Amino acid sequence: MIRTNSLTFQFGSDKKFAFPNIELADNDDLLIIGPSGIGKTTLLHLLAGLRKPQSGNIYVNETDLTTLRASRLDRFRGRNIGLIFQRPHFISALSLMENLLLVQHLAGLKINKKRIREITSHLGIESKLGENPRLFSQGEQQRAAIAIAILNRPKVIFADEPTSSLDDINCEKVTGLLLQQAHETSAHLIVITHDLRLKDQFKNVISL
Amino acid sequence: MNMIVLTWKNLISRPLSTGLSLMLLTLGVGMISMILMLSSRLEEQFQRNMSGIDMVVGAKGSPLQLILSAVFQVDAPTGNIPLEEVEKLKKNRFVASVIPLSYGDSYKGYRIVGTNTDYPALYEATTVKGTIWNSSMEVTVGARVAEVLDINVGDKLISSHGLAEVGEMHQDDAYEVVGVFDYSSSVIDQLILTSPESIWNVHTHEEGEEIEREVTAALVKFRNPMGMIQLPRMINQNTTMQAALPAYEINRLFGMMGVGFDALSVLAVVIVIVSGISLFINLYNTIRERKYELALLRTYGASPFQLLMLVMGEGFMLSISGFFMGIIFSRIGMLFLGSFVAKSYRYSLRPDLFTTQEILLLIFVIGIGIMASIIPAIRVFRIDISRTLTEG
Repeated sequence: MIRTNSLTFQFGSDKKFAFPNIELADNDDLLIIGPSGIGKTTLLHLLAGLRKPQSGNIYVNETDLTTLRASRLDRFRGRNIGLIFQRPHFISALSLMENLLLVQHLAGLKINKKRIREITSHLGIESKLGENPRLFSQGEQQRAAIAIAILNRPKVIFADEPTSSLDDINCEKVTGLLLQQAHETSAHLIVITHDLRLKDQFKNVISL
Repeated sequence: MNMIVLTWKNLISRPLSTGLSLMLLTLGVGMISMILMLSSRLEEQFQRNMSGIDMVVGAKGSPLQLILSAVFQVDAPTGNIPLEEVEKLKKNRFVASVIPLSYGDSYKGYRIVGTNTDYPALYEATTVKGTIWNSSMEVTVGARVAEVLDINVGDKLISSHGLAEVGEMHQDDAYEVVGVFDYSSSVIDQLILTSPESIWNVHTHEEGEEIEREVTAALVKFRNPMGMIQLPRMINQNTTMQAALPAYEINRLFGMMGVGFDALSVLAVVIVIVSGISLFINLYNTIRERKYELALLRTYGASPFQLLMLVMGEGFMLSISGFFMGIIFSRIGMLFLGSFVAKSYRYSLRPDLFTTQEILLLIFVIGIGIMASIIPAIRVFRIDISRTLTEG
């Protein structure tokens, strides 16, 4: 369950954002759509606890992110929030397996290689575990990024423009994959995008 | 996969710049540690050979040369002094013992010294084969000499005039080897000892004159510290001889060598500091490139403190490995140098396992590692995740 009320954020003295309230029941997904510069990424960073809002509250399963102390917030993020970026990023000195082990370690969870194999084989990249993700194809990188986001069974998965560089076929594929993976780990999927092609695949849509 | 492994992986993911910093650090630490070992070894060796000798008398000339030639057998003698004068010295109330030394001849580059049995006794040298010389033209050979030249009891040695390997040969007079000394880690190991009479014999025979009873130097031990104050002045002013104090001259020598050691140490410290600077530049640049990765780590749940430790850890790890590589490097260097020195001189230079000064060196090197990484680490500590991710 995710709920926000009267979130605002201010950049400098002139750029002020006020965001509409969000309320998601369990297992609901959300598409936040809007043109560039409207504050989509800012909203996503507020929801993911990467920034503090000027005012307002964010509840993820009854935990108010805005009141958590910095160290608790870091831990909370590692355990409950999965992030997928427009371009996939990895720790470049590490193989995919090591990247995934690090994600478990930093969230303060026990090392669970079985879970890693399960997820990667499901996403069809188990054979790539020993390789460095920099050398993957674009599709493999996208799936590796999804594997990282869902590894710790987060409560919410945020995706920031996941499809903007993809053609129509791949756009539908990736969105389908994201929705499927989110449902299998019983997480909310919240996607922010300016890509109107995604509209049909989501029940809940907020336009900024 | 924990942060320590990640630190290590980050370091080795940049083999060139990490290698450069590591190489500089190894070189600097290796040099410092070698200088430390070398100066303490030399001092030890000098002390061992000086023990029991309070004063040396010999012909007038350079006091340092007299000490080097009479005590350490590494320089040419200053000249000869009449035995009579030395005998007189024995009767002085400040003097406990006098050991006369006659040298100047050699056998295949090893010095032949005419003396009495007090001289080997001074260094607690005992024979391992045969006996100590008893009469004229008998010699007892030092352990190192016997080993290198493969000399055995019963061999005849024909000495040559002077200390060079090729001097005029004393063809008519052959020495007979009656014994071989055991190793005593002193100057005795590289000498051939005989009685003073043998030396006089060889030389007067040659020149067909009366026996000229001279010695080259004498090693004196005082009965009490008053001798130290009175005797040298008395000898230098009232006799044809000069008196020199080994402790004083060796301190002077170390003072002079110390300048060289100091200059080398400064150079080595500069190298260590340059390695610190190269590490700093290396970290500072990669932090700019890796900023996005570091923000990513924050989204995975890493705290700012963990990122700080990640960067400082690189400095720490590099400095520790550089330190130990430098220590190993210096030990190998000492083994090489030791075998060279043992061949040229008799001094044995065995490397230490670990010295206390090196603990200070370790602290210094870790300090450099921390200094080099602290500014990049603070930048990382303050990273704005949201902005970095947006810009990345």
